[in-house]
Order: sequence, then C-alpha cells, then structure tokens
Amino acid sequence: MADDNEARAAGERVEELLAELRARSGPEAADVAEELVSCLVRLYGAGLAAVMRIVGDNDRLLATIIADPLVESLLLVHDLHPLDTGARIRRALGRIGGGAEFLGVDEAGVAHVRLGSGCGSTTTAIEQAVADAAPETTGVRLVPRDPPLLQITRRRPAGAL
Amino acid sequence: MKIIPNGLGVPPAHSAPPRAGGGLRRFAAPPARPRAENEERCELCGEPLASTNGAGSGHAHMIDPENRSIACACTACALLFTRPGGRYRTVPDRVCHDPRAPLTTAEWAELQIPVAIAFFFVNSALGRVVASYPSPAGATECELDLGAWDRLTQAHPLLQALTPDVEAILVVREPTAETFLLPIDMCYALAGALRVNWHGFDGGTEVRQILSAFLADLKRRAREV
Repeated sequence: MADDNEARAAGERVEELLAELRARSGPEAADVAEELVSCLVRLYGAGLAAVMRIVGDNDRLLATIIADPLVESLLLVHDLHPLDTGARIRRALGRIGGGAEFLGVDEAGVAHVRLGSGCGSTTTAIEQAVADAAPETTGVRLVPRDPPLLQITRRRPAGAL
Repeated sequence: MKIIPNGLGVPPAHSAPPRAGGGLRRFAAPPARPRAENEERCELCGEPLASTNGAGSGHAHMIDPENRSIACACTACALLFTRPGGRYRTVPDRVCHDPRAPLTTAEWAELQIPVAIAFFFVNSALGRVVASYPSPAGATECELDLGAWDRLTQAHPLLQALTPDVEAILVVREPTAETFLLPIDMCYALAGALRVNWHGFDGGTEVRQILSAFLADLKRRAREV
C-alpha cells in the first residue's frame, strides 16, 4: 500500500515545491500558492463527496471503489472513506500479518496497537500502515505484546562465565 | 521470521515532519486563518504583524539607507538589525528634547525653511543632511544649507545625539518653537497623515488637529538628552 499511496506522494511533492517557492520568492508568494493548492484540493474534494453521496450505501460498489488504491487514498484525504477508523486500521494490520492488534484511538488521536510477532522493521511497517490507512490519527503507540509466561533459557555449563 | 513487504527500505514514518502520511489532507481542510488582503507582514520574514499595540503603527520599521526605503519589521527581525553594519537599520523608539537649548528665531531663519514644520535627518549613503517637510504632496525634500546645519549642531547637543538614517530632528515654529529628536518613521507617518487630510491652501482644521495631537504625544514621550 505504501508504494501505491499516490495522494501521499503528491502531498510530499507539493510540500517540496512550496518550500522551494518559499525559499526563492518569499513567504508571501508561498502563502498564495498554499491557498491555490487548497482551493483546487477542496474543489475536487467537493466533487468526490458528491460522487460518494450518489453511491450511497451500495456495498458492492463501495467495495470496488476502495479496492482501487488511488481512489482510496483520495477518499482518505477528504474524510470520505466508507469504513471507519478502526475498521481501516484492522484491515491494514491484517495485510501486514504478524498478529498485531488494534486497541483503539485515544482522545489525542493516537492509535494504540499491540505488537504481534515480528522484528524491528515490523514496527516501522505498522506505523506506516496506520498512517496510510487512517491519516486522521495523530500518531501510533506500539504496546509490547504480553511477555510469555515461561522463559526457557539454556543452562550455563558449570564453570563458564 | 516472516519477511514484511515494504518493511525494509521504506523510510520510517516519523523521519518526515509530523505525519507526512497525511499528504494532501492539510489542503483539504478550510484554512484555519484566512489570508487578509491588507494584512501587514514583516518584510523580511513574512511574519504577520500585530495591527496595534497602543500608540503608533504598533510594529517596528527598518531603514535601508542605500535605497532610501523603509520596511515593516516584526520584533524578532527588528532586534536583529539594531546594530549598524547590515543593509538595514532598525528605527529606534526614543523621543528626546532639549528644553535648555531651544532653536532661536535667528537660527530658524538661517535654515531658510519656507514652512513652519520640517524634519532633518542624516543620510549616511549620500553623506548629507536632508531636510523634509510635510505638504499636500507628502514628504517634500528641500535644500538645506549644510554650513548652517553644522553651526546649529555645535550649539545644540540634541542635534549631536541624532543617529544617522533612522532618527530625525523635527522643528516646529508654530504655535511655539519646539525641537524634538524622534524616530524617522514617526516623521513619515506624520507626513502621510497630513497629506491624506490636507484641505485647501494651509491644510485646514483637520491638519492642525493632527499636528497638535502629534506634538502633544511627542511632549508626553520626550525625555531630556
């Protein structure tokens, strides 16, 4: 999903260009450009909202729509995704695998996820997946999985340090 | 161990500014603070300026002596340019007078200023004293006899205290003869206010009211050199 997130890629490119404009032409020009981008994004957002109203609760059609990564990422930009935050995060965690469990979103907007199995790169993948699937959350808090009841270690040979 | 797709090689989410994953979302929300058309901003960094904080324009100004231009500045930028050496010089905010050594009628006559109010400042780029007076056309510059200015400076400690480019000496002949050392942006503000409200040949009642209010404010703020 990370590579397919065209809305994120476009957003990053827009930020780069705005930073370039701010450095070259000054803050006033950059502010005008920000407003320009915002104007266009809100216009097609209003169009997408109208489309989603027309689709209504046609589940089969909704499923087809959110199966398209580009369309899905744009729906997320405008808070138009038919699935709620929890459902989207659970779906994203399921795609990663490893048994990570979504615990909920706190009042600060941080998503809590209990780690399943996996190495360090899994945590990165989880953070990215939650950010992509639920951009309305403000962060991810990873809760370590419950420690196993019994730890079995190898017995040290006598005399060794 | 299971290989996580995209797990490696993908930059961590938190290496970018907060939640780059949000992408275009910040543009989808209506702007938190709509951009005001005539909003005043610092001309160096673009920071919006406080509209008022009591007297005057409420924000600092900087002079570019080379181009003889004046720029609005936020407090932070103004503090950066309080020392000489850079392209800009911040206009200080002191107002001084010297009741012990007022300008005499003879001294005023020697300056050969055709009007009852004028301000003088040292332009360091030109290396000369510029005399300017408010008029219906804004601040109008006039020729000044430099020898006369030098003689005045000897006799008046207030004139010696003048900082080039950013401060001015305001001389008023009527209703009473007064001399002030003041920030140069106040002089331009006065010239602007007089120009906007100028009516008829002598300016009219409004102009006299603005002038007397301005002088009252100066007297209240003025400290002795």
